[in-house]
Amino acid sequence: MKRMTLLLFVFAFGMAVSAGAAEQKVPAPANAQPVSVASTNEKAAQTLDKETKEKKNEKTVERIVKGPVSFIRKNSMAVEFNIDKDGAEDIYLTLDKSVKVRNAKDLSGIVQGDSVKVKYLETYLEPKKKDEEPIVLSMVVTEIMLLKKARPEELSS
Amino acid sequence: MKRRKDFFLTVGMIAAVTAGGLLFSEAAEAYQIKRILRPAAAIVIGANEVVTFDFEDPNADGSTADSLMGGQYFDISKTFILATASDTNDSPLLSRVMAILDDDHTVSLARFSATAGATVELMAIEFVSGVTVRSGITVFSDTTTGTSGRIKTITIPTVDLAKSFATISWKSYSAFNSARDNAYLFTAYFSATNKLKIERSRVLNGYRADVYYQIISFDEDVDVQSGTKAIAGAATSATVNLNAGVECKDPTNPSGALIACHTVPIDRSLLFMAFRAGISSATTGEEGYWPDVALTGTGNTGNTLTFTRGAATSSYDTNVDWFLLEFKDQSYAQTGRVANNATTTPSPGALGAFTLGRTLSTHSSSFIFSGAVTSNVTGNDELQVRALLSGTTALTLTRGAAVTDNNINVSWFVHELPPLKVVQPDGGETLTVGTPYNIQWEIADELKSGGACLAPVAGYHALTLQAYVDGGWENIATGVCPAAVGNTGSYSWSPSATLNAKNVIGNTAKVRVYSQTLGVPPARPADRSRSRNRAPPHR
Repeated sequence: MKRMTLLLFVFAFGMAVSAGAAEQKVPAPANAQPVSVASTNEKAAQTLDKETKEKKNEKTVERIVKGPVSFIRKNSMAVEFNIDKDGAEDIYLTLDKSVKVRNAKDLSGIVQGDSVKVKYLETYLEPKKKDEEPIVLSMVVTEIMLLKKARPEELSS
Repeated sequence: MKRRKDFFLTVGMIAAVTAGGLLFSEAAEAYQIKRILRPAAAIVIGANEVVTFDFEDPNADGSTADSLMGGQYFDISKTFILATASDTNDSPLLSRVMAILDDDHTVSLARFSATAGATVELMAIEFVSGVTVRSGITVFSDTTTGTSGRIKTITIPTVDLAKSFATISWKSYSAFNSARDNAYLFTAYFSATNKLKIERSRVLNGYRADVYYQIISFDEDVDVQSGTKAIAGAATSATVNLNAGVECKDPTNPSGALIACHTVPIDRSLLFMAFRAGISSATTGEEGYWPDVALTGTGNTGNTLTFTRGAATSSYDTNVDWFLLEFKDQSYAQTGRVANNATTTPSPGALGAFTLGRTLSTHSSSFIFSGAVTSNVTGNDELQVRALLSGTTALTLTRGAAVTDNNINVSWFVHELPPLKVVQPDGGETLTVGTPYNIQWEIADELKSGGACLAPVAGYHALTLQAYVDGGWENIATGVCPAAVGNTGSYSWSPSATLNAKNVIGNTAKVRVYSQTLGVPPARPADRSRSRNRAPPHR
């Protein structure tokens, strides 16, 4: 199962042609920036059934989001990335097992209220029609950079 | 109250037999409950801000001799929790408990106050397969400018809103003032297929809040209708007509035009709800906005959701976000309403028998004001109800206090999930006569004990596998035990041209699996319809 997941992932990289194009088609947090797209791994892609590839049509783009941590635990976290007239917004993210942590020893060094910069991979399916939204399959954090520790009064649960 | 007529035990598969083989034409069941665990006794928060309950070490003595886990921690991507609390204090600061599944065996029950209060009943509901749970915490600031302290939108991976629902719990940060309770009531709904919106009506200085949310998505076999309903102005009730109403959200476009709801079988339905007062200023008699939500209908056809609150006032609405789950499988639901009850333990009476390890409950409560709605002396303690399922027929509802002239209504749902499902065949398979085919299934933990199987699966329930051929059920195999411990099993079947002297070629067939300990299941519902492919794909 893990092997298949990996292959799909590599394939997804191969399908994304440009960061800019991906950003136009995928709704993303207001300050999320697509920063790079991995290169094609043709050999891995060829191992997948062609029909499966067409059906899945998964694409992956890397994004960045910044803001205070709403919560964090071993396999997931949320970041408050926007506040505007319509309220505040969080983004819910899954943590990759090998997530990199910068400016802190490990995940335990990041707590609710800390300001962070997070890189994550968003995997999605292109909409079949123009007026449809893409289907976001996953948003997986690959790197967390601690920017600023929370003040004690910002800490709660 | 509806009473159980039959006891079902398995699921089945429909197959059509073609020349030379079997063509399975109906999909397998989509989800399987693993277990529902509860502490042995209610959890008393006492004078603590946070109490941790460890299912691996319930009495917190450092020994796992009293573990409830059975050697298996929760898969938190397939587990959600439900906690209900009661208290003898009016203040939400003391009575509101945020229940958080911290890790794969621990639940934290958090308040801001360390003043004694709140007693909690807890359920942890874990699935073997077919369900994805996402959970987290979001913070509501106490800013009084703009809406950032009032509305929080959480971007999530796309979910199928026809198969998903959300629950919330929260903790309050400010001291009691019953005219300000409305700052600590939240609702949650999906504003898009990738947006969960949590909202309250009022923000005050110091009224920060943490909200724990859980998003539960089924793969198949569950249809979720949802909506937002207001009990408006001077009304004390409102209804959603599930027959011809236009009050359900379009799962493919939740922010768009409403669509017609649809009736549900009452004995397959389960309701989740949250509410807030639609007022942004102080008011008295606030408890009047607490609503209960009942599902009623004709016979087993649920065609009306009735929202009832204790008091009518032109100054505010009650806003209810609701999710009505309709299970397409062999689930068994009971529902009812305890009306106008003056006690601290409003009793629904004895229920039809259920199996505790597969049964969960939800409820909602409203007040009855016999006099004028002017007092602040009443509060959460008279309205906040905790619920405990115990034994095989008991639902115990408890509130913190009862006061004269303020009786209570409680609408409740008790829902038992099936003990096993067939995984394969899954529909569309063609089997060749004489060629082995693996019939596969999954079971709840309940089927791991009390049965006739021997080592290495001692105590597991022995299973009977049958095919429905030419108008009757014929045994494929009996006394089947899984080869190894766990929640899955399989049996290699080499179909022959005849089954117990019945010709399978050219006939329509079904396959079913059931526990010999629990017995033969009843027929599936006649109105059963598959929900596959009705909504956008998701993970």
